[in-house]
Amino acid sequence: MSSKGVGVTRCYNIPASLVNSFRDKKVVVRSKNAAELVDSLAEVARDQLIYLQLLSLVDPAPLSKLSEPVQLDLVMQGDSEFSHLYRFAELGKSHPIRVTVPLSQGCARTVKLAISLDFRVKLRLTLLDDTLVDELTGILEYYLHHRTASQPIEFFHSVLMAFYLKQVVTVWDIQEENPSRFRYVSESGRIEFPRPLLTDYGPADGNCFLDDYKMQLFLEQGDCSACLYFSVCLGYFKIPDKNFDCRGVKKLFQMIKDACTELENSLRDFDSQLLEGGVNPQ
Amino acid sequence: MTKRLTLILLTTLRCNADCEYCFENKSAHDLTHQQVMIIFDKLLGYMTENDIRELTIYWLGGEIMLLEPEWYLRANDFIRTLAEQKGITVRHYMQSNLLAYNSKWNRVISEMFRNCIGTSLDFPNLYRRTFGGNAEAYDKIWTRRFREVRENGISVGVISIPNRQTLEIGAADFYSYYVDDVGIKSLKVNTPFPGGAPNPLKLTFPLNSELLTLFYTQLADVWMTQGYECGVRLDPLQGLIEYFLNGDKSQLECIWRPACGDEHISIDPRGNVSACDCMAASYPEFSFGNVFDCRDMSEVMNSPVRQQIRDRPSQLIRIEECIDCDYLAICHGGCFTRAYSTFGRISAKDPDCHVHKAVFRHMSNAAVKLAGTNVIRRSIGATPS
Repeated sequence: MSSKGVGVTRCYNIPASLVNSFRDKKVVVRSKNAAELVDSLAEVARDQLIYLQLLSLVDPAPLSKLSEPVQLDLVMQGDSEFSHLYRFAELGKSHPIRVTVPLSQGCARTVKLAISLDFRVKLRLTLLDDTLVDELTGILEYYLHHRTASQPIEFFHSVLMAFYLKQVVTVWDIQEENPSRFRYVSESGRIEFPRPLLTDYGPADGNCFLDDYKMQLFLEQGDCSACLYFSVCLGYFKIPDKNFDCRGVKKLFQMIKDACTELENSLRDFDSQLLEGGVNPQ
Repeated sequence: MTKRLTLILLTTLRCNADCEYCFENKSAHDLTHQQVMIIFDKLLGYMTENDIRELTIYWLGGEIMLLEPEWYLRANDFIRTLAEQKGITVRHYMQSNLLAYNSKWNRVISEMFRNCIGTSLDFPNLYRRTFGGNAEAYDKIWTRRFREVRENGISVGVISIPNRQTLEIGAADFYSYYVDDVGIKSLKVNTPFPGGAPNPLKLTFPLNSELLTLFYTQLADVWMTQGYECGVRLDPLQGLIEYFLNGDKSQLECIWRPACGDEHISIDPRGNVSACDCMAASYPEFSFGNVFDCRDMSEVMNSPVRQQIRDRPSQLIRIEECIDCDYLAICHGGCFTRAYSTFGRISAKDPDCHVHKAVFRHMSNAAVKLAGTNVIRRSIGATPS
């Protein structure tokens, strides 16, 4: 569950019932049933398992039977079940937990509770509107500036780290939706892209989708062609609506960039104080 | 990331003190060795089944020194042998009023408790009394025993409960009394709450939140200036400064944990299992069951009462304003025992909520200041004394 995706090998998000069919693949194993997830481990080589994904937060008890630390992803179905996260508080001491929170109005409180329980968070993004951009902005403020926010919130965290370390990362990878690296396997075994793609772009197998899509966005000379954050976003927010107004999203990236600059300046000041050796204690 | 369990084991419900704010209903019940064997056979069996590899035992009473030191050594022999067989690590802590201490205790304190003991002393002492005596008698005996303990090379940590006079005296004199006059290097200041059978004193709890806040914040300032870097430990403030400085939640009080209902159990000498010692001894309605009557420990641990306590934080964020609080990450609604004893229900936030929030804010700011000071010190090559 790396912030930057899961490496160059393709990863398959599979139902627990199909683990036997994907023995030689990197997999995320998902189920609504915690007991089924635990049982599936017997069929999965540990070096092939990226994480277990639990789709219902009703009954975590079977997970206490996990003998070794396993990365867990708890997928919230809606804000109404946010208080169920407390049921996983004890489990979080022995297993790294991430909570996938669908972006919706009011989801900030779910994010806050997850972070307060020392769980990492990934926001599952959807078609944004002004309300949701406001929600994202509030969550970003919390992530960047709140003293008790001490866990990563994605996609913010990986973008901040990439800015700071001068590394390349894309929202597609952070969100585990890069079609060349991630696949979703339905209950019936059908292999799909992790999110519906625009049919106007890219070949059907998805391997070259992002390259083709990127080129198209440049050629169209739309918002993306002049965007400062295109290398990170790669038009992620223009799907499914090509005409989506990105101003709110750009502000988010700018906030992260500003925080990065602030961090760099603070550390530079700190280093120079150390070198100079003379400061006036207040 | 080893799984842990904390057991608060009440070896006796007898006591040689008669403290006015005590939350325990006293009785003549003592734990026998046979009962110790039953308890640990079941408890360690449960831990093994659930892959819980670390057990912390707080040995409490009543007054634990009303049983003989040899009793503890024998109990420890059994626990150690069984724990070794099951690959479980056990750490022991004891809490005593010291009134019955003599040098015969040195061996057990050394072997079981790593030469450390926790005790209780208030300033001024108004409500800790010897049985049939008074506060002066308590202080006199306690001081004598404390000196003996110290002379025998035993480390002492003190729990203090502030009262209305404490708040009038103020934080500076309070701190000076413990650290300078008595020589305490480890102090924990708990707020009083009306647990157990009601009496006129308990009706005055919780203490005035504004005065209590002022006391705690001033105490923090005194400690940060005089004690923090000189080896004086002061809880709960130390745990908070560690959190705000380093993100370390491990030193936070049990009342501020998200899963205290998962982490702690208490067993009294009658075998009643509860979430904490106050519940075990005084609120039978919150018993998870009886360890001597149950088939195995999971029967008790799966009790609906335990589930109710475990569910409390999730209930609070729906019905109280905790979800909007800046300090949710280090509080989770506070103590259910304090809520129950004050409001008659556990589905209420801690009665000292306002005090806690102010103290959190104060310690958060203190940590920022301290971090800045540390930067300056490093820059000029100075280290704390």
